[in-house]
Amino acid sequence: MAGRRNKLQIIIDILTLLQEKEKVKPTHLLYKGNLSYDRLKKYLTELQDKGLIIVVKEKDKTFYKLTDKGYNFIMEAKKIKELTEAFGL
Amino acid sequence: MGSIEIWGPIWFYKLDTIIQFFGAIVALLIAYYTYKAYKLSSKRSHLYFSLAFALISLNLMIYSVVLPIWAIVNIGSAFIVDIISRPLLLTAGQILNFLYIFSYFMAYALLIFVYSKIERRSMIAIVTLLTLIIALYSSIIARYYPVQTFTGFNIIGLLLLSFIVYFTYNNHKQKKSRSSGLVLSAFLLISASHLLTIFVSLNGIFFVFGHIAQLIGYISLLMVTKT
Repeated sequence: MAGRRNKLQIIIDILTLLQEKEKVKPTHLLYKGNLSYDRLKKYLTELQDKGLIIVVKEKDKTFYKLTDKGYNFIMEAKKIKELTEAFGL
Repeated sequence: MGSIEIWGPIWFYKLDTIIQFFGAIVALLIAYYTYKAYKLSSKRSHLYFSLAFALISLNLMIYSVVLPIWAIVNIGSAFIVDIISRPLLLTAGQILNFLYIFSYFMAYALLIFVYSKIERRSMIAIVTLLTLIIALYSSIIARYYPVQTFTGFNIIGLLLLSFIVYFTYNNHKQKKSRSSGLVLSAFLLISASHLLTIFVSLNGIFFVFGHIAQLIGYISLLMVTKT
């Protein structure tokens, strides 16, 4: 995940991490997502508001999970990314 | 195409409209996907790109709608002429002609802005104004000098497209993907369609060849959206 990423790429990266595992801890996202805490929180809030991810509380621990809507979204986002790359955007 | 006159062989009249309509749908599809990309990325370049393809779609839609209206006016016997007066139809034709030229040049200007990474609003405003003037002037003289306007339209289109071909070539050289190759070939074919239609005054068959090149170009773009 090195290099300068745009918002679309960051969202795809976060959702891909959530897609790979059933549930993910915020610290894992922070580490793997290569983002500052504030930026990650901003993105997670936005994704949550859009219903793409949900927060799950288990034994006082917070996890993030991808919703069905989020799964469909990531498929479409990847397609859109491929399209914009094809055009050199 | 530029001055909304009938150029090609008679047997090709309806087919050219269908090709243009098909292109309009493909362009609209690209505008829709890139607008979605803008909503996700908030990148202004995605918005301009989407707007450019929406304008291309508008341009092609006008062609599909304008030609039949123009044909009715020229025949002068259709029942529509009785409902809407002939001068009004001519005025509508001129307005559509202006929109046709403006939408096309503005679309390609926007694409050049995107590829050149120019996002300054003042620069875009100046080019928009210039495009408006060129389109207005062209739509006025098109009535008196249809051949010259038609040729000029295709030459300017070809010039603008050559920049886009250059940028998409560089992108393909870098990515070397099937999709980037399809994009490059699409813009090459659309450029070829302009080049071919420049020679329409020599032989009407160039109009057919130009449209076939355009059709394959838009099929290539459709394939990019389906990748």
